[in-house]
Amino acid sequence: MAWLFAGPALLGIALVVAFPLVYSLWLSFTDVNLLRTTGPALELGGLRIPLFRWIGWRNYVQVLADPLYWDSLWRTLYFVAAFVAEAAVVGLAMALVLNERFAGRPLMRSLLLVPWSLSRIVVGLLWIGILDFEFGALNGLLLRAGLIDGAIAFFKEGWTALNVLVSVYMWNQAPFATLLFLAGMQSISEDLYAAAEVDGAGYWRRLWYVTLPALRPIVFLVLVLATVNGFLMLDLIYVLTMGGPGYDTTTVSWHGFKTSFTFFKFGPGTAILYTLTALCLLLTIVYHKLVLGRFEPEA
Amino acid sequence: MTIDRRTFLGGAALSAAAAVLGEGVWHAARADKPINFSGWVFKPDTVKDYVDFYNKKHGGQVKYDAVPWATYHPTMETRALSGEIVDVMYCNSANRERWFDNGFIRALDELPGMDELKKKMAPANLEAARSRDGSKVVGLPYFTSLFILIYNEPMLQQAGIKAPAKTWDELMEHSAKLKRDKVSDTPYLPNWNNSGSGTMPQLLSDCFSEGANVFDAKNRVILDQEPGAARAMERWQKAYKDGLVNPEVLTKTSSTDTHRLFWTGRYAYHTNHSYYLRTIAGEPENSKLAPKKAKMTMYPGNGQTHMFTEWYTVNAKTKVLDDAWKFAKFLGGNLNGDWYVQRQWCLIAGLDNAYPEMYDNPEIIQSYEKWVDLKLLREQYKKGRTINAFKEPWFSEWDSKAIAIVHNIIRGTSTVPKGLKELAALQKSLA
Amino acid sequence: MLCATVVAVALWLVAPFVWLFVTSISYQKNLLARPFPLVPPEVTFDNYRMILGLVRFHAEGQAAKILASMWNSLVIGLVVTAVNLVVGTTAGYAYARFSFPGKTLSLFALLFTRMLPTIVLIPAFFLVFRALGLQNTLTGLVIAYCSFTLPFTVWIMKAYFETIPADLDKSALVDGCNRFQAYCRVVLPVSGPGLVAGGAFTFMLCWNEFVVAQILNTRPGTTTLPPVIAGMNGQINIDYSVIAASGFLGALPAVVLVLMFQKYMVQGLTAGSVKG
Repeated sequence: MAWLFAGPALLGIALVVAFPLVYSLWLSFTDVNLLRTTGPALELGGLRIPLFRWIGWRNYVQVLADPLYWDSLWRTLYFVAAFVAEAAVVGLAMALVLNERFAGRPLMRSLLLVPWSLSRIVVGLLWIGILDFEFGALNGLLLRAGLIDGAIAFFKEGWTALNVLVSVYMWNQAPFATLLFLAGMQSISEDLYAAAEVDGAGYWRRLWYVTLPALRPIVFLVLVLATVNGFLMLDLIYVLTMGGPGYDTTTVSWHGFKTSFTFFKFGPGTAILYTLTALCLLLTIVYHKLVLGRFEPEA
Repeated sequence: MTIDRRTFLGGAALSAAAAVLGEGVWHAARADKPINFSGWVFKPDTVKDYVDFYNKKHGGQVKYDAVPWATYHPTMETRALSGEIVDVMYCNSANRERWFDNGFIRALDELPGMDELKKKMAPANLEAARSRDGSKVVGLPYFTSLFILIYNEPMLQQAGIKAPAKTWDELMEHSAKLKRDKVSDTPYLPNWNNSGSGTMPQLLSDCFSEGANVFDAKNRVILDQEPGAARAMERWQKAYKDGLVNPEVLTKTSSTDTHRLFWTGRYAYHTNHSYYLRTIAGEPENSKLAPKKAKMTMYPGNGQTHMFTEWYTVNAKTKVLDDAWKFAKFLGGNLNGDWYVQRQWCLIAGLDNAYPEMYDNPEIIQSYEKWVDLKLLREQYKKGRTINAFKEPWFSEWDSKAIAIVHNIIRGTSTVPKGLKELAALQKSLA
Repeated sequence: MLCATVVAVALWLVAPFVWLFVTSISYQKNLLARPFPLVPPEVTFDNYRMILGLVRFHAEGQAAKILASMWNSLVIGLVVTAVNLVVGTTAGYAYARFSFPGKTLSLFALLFTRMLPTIVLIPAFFLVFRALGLQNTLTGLVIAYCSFTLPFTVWIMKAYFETIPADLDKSALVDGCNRFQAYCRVVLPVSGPGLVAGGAFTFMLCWNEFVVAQILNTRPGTTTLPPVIAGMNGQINIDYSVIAASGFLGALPAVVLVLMFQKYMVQGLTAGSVKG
């Protein structure tokens, strides 16, 4: 009976996730040439799926020997660490504010999801309108207030650009962390707070000794989700920096994307993306072990 | 833009008269099969207008799609690889040989009318139109251009500089002075943008002007052995370090985007493709430096700059070859009998062209008056240098990946000798 | 103190988006003006008129793509949401109620797919779709989108159904219904928030998705909205204010969805994330 219910979805997932996953993995071990239409292939009921020639680890060796790969890996790790820290802290801060009672709280809750609901393309576009050198609002306002002499070029230099990317992405994703934190906070029993107050604890002590410990599972959840999202991020780079200046905002996923689709080297490209996938798998295992599958993973 | 339409319609009337004598009007009765046409974004409204003209006058059914310049070639390749056929496509020099080798575009020699067109092309352009082994012509010329030096006359005068820089040192001195006197924050605007029409062609121009060769006779990169190249790169590094250049140039995604910065009148010197002066100095509705407040001066150093041509190509897999070729001849040849498209590009956008015959037209000669000293431009063209290396199979990837290396040199992340060696090594690794 | 913080947070959340709207109703030349105008001196809806094709302008070719791609995005979003709601919820129900061989393993696998970089599947999709002739089709994108929406829907619905007491089903079964009838007649009707959350979220994911659509559907006429907006950004002859207008239009449906269904979405998405 269970199979009747779960069957269609599982079958669907097997087809659209498992199969491409395996095929991509296969591709990373072959010399894919998109122009070649002959050669070994998988024939499935009239459908011809090209298999190309097996070359073993050569793509991986080529990819890992490229210093650009390692540069982008360190950059990705920095990006992820910064993003996770910012998203968690800002998310928690917003949750703390929204947990208080005040007039208009329901409205605030609605507003909370606005940054999160936007396509990352729109998010990037929107922040260009604020950060741009020529017509951005931030430069315009700072210049007008006399706080700076010349407009600031936020995307000119790799380090600044990377940090700006982190902050923009955080603006987009922190509300979701806030949601999770809020849900967690609302399940903390009032008694715990009452007891703490009786003991003479002020706001910050209550936060440290009551709220945060109770939120620990949520904190883990947020950390892991943010980490995965950080690794996967692509569209913001596309619209804001295209991996530049130079290679300064090229992360591993961007590197894989460019290799696969700009130079059409599917072999090395899928190899790069599979190293990323391996990292994500590692994270999944870590997450599963730590949180024991009790809590919801969300996007 | 209204001005352009008026010029356009005027041109259309002229050509309608001329075309009565040409082949155009007789073909209007038969409708062609639909063909797809794609180009990168450069004045797409102009392109749309002449596509409409072609459809009406020559019975075509051309569907035009403009693709952003920054991702043009990868997008077209994706479309080709996914089985979509775009019958006529723009292609730049860097990617053309790759498209030909991979069977995306076809040779044009046996097609009707090609021989006459070959005779009418300037020899240098015909040479560039040929494939690597010289045996086949693989594109019709879209336009020709070269890098020039543009200066902001009012700004220089304001700072007491009587004449534009004649040498690179002078240019650096002027820029430093303008910055010191707070006339401009970032007076020097080189075309260091992130796309295929920016940093690398700019590098070629500046190296040529310093007397350096970029490629040897076998088309290998020899930048690391040329003192002129080191001089140019050191100057670039210094200009950036001294804050003479707006750092955001490095992130611009096209030369068109870059030249728009010069419209603001906040920069003193700009190096870019020649036709951009048309907008800068000739379109008051867009540029603060029009009319003719921005002027051209001879390129510093020995005056040599990089000259290049961009192309129209015909898809190798097209199913409607006759109609596609007819349209291609309209675009890059003389189907209309009066060099219609080439003239429109020259009048509207200042694009130069591979067919000398076109310049016999007094209207064309006069149109240059609006934006440039034609004699000086012709002088500069005499010093234009082309390269042959773009026909090598490794070139498009080298050209694309080299940008990051050069940007690292500019920003000082890499030393000049190291960066130049990297450029040479990159080519070896791809060859 | 609290008031100030609340206002600050509200500004932080909403001001950038509001600014997007303000730029979309401004003239580009005013954005470039120095000193920077705090309040736009001129307001115009011309940018929107240009995009909607009501006013001719020089980049109308590109602008015309916006409405067409919105339609494509809408169709894809609705179809994928429908598929998810039908197939994903039943699977979620199965995971919530039944125990069956392979349950834990498949749950782990589902979790893993949630953490996949979808981009790694694209080369495979590219080649398979080419063989199937599904490139540049809406059907192809629907299939590709199910790859990252289905696992998610299954997981949300599983968590949501777990918050509905199993006694509800049991009483229906006792009354003589079979499982499927119990599911349809008793469980689904009270699952409103969960279904709304799952549906709205899936639709949003599809509406906002960029990378996959950019690669798989390049032929004009088959594109979805985000690639077209990104494409407008790449076209240098279009003023930022027009691009802002297209961005705002593109964002509107998702924002409206979220504002309308905020309560349900929050409930549905965080259900089960906290026990007790």
